[in-house]
Amino acid sequence: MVKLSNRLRQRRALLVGGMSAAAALLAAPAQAFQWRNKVSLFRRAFPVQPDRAEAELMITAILDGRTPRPGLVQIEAPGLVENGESVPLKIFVDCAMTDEDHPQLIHVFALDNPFPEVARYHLLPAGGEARLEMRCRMASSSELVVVAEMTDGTAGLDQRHVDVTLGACG
Amino acid sequence: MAEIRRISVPKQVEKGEIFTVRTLARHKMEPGVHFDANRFVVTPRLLLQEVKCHYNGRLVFYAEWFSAVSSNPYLTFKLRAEESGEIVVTWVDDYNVITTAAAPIDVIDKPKS
Amino acid sequence: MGPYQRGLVLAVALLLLPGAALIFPASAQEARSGYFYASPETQALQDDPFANPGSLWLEEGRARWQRIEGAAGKSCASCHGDNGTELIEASAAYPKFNKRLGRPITLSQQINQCRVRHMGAAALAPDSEALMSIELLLRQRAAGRPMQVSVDGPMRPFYERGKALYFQRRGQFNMACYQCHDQRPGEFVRGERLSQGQINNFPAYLIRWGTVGSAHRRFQLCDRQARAEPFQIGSPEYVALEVYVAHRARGLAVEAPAVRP
Repeated sequence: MVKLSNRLRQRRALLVGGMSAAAALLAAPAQAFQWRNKVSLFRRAFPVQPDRAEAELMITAILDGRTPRPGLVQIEAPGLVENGESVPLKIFVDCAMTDEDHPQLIHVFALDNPFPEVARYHLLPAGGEARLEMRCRMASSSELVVVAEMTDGTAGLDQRHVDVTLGACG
Repeated sequence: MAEIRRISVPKQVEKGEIFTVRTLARHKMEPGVHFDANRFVVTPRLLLQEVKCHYNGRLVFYAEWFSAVSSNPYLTFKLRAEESGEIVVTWVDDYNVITTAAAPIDVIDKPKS
Repeated sequence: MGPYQRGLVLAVALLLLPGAALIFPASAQEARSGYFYASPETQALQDDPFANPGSLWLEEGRARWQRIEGAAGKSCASCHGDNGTELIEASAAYPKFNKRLGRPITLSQQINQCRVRHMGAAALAPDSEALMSIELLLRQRAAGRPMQVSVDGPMRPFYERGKALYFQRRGQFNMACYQCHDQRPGEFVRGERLSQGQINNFPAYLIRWGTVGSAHRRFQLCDRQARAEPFQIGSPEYVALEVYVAHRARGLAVEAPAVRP
């Protein structure tokens, strides 16, 4: 297929989305108008494009001028996954897990997702060790970024590029 | 039937030992951006938004999830063994529907050597 | 035949073997489960009994096995016992010829037959979670046993029909099953690694679906990817294709619950 420019693709998505929303307004059964569907309908009509700059802005806002401490956060993810639906991710924060030294908040981001924030983990010293395992979705090949905010005000960051191979003939 | 929640902790641990809590929930984690078969109605968003873990009633772990968590979400975290009792993991979805899974844990004192 | 001639025959046979492998790459290849072609992460997910999402369906299946449904007031366990021991052999042998219907039926269809005829309950929708959970439970009990589909006697015409479908080019891409799964297993089609297309692992949890689905649903996906109009789940075409593909996988151990990308 001819590669459309990003701008054109956005416009096309907007047009198609708008048309289907109009069609939905005319023809959809009553359940489409339940309040909980409205947000989704809006989102479909005006699809959110992955915006890397915005995702990076979110991370910058979390870091808030702090320089990430090197080696504090260590993440493990496969370099290549068959399906972006399930990317195994292991997170480890190297700390003592005491009241003064534990990660208050661990943020997980997938930069090229339409909604880049994946999860937030609040840890307590009762955990004993800051080690997590989860599976996340990725829309396309991009970076997984994990930011940890420590109780002493410092922060840590680690990232890993993951190549996502989509289904064949997609 | 679809509501299956599962946790796994070791049966017996020594006091002060760090053990793993593994959790698995059966859930579609519908991000709310899909059409269903008739191409008109959008599949409504339905996510598990929060996961909490209580150890004998004490909150020890808390997570917030967004739409990019895989379906049938899997999560593991660590806890330090303090006393025998129960570990309860709670999942909360978009409509505040609360599901739980619990497992007992037996904490033994370290043998004096 | 003297020892000299015997040696000559052996030498000629040895010389011919690699040549035969070149001419018939598929026949020379040993049958391998899709597990072999999956990524290490997917293999690890399948091997972990707790994290394997298919085990969630198994759990549902165990509950459904005991559940009394329908007019006859029976559950699966009322006839087949708690463990369904006598079904273990049979689970690895579907699709099987059904004398009453005069055609082979899949394990899903057999479960629905049981429900309608013996339990007086409604048939479950094809590929519904309920049906898949029971089918997965039956297959899990047969796990490790070799696939053994009979294609003799009345099954023969259906096997031939399935074989014809397997080698028939279809869709806009004008592709047949054998082109990917016999000639190019292990190679990549865009991002996806081709397997031999063995169905010893179905119903399987496919990560892309986020649910457990049947071999027919996987056939539909293949057809769509080749830009062909897929047949219906449970259609005679797919049942015939399943007969051929299941017979092709004979001897491979049944895998359940399996995880595939």
